[in-house]
Amino acid sequence: MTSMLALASDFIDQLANPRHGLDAHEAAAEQLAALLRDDERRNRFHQEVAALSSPLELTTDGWRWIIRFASANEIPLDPDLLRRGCLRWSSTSLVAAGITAAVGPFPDDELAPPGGGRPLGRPGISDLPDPWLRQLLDELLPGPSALDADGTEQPDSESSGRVRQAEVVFTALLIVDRPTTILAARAMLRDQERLSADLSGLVESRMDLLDDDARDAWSEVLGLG
Amino acid sequence: MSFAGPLTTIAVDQSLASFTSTELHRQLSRLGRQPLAVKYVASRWAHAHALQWPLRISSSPLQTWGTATYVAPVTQPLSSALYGRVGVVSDFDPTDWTVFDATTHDAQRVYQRWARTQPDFDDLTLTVHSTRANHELRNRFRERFHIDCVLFRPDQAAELHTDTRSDVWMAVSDWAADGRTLKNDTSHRLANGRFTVLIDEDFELSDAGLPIRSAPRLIEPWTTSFGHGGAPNRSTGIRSARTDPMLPSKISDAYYSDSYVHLFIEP
Repeated sequence: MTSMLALASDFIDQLANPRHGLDAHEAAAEQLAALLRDDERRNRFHQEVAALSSPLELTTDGWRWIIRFASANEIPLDPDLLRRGCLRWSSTSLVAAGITAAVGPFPDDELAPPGGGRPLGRPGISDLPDPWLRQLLDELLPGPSALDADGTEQPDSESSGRVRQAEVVFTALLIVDRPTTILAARAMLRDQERLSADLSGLVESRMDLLDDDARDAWSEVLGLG
Repeated sequence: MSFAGPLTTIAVDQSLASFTSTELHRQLSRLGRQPLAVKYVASRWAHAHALQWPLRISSSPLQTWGTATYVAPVTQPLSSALYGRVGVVSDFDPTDWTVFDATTHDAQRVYQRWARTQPDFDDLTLTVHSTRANHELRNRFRERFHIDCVLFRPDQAAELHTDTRSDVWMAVSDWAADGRTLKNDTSHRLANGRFTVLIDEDFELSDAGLPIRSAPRLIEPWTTSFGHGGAPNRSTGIRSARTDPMLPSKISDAYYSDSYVHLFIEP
């Protein structure tokens, strides 16, 4: 890690990690603000954020802050970094932030209301138009080494971790709630056997809690009707 | 796309208003000029606010309404003194602000109704990560409905300084260039902050590591317990005290007369 980011990363973790407490959050935020007051240091910090390349460079709470900071300041983050982070992070909201940053600015033509735009359909993962999302979901699929000769996945801890991550990514796609990510979530539902994940069960149990108004909305968004 | 459903979405939309239509705006307008707000910071940050500078946006997941600049209107100048002895005041222009008035029960219920429809609601209710889940849900709510300011009742109180039933605090949003993403560094909406209030009291912010609900005064209860012998408490300006050859004897007198010397910063 380069020097400005190294200096700032402790503050960033302290200002966002709940275990430090509000007093420490406020102190760290003041320290970070003081560090970044100088234009030259701030520019260098921006450059170092853009050069981040590994999900291991920051804590989960650090990433949460950095991704928002990068989005708000139009600092592009490395798509490979974001993909590897989304395959690793266990927090649905952090994965949602990573997906939001990766799929880019919200274009106006995505703002059409449900039913007002073109039908989303229910493509498979390989049909997804967004290459970043397609690669993300492809990497969630079990590789050949994880399969038995008959094609079933080994019930080991690695596959169980993959199933859990598939659920995290699926929920994150819903959180982002854009046509392109909803399309990817629908693809995951269609190809859930490839993922060895019971995503339909996840959706059904979640929808059980909803009133009719929201349940209808979920059905429409996910193409379940 | 929306998981909330049209009825919930309409209910949220109906709970939004313009800041200029609020009672708070009317109160602030009576003072004339631009509305002012105050944010208290710890004494060790007095130096950072001696000159005019933007207030910083709080990203703490322990704050009530997500990533925002937390201030109190200057009409309730001591309400948020819990957070430090240095009051940083900034003007702001709320023209065109959309406000979500979470001081009302109706708005609170509307937010809860919306939160229940969110895909990660389980994180809030079924995991140990509820603090972060709350933070993210509130950010998402404000971003989805482009809420510029949330008004809410204090959920932390400084003894005698905060009235949790009538005071109003503000969580002010700052938007990135895309107009949809909440910023998390410095505020352009409260851009003219300056050290303006110094208060002679201090409070604890946490209790056993969790945000304190009601913080007792740490100083005044003890100073008012002095002087049982009728000796007056002494107030001395700090500048003259520094060169006052009599200061040691004044302290000695106070010590032996059950009094105290208040070294205040002169106006």
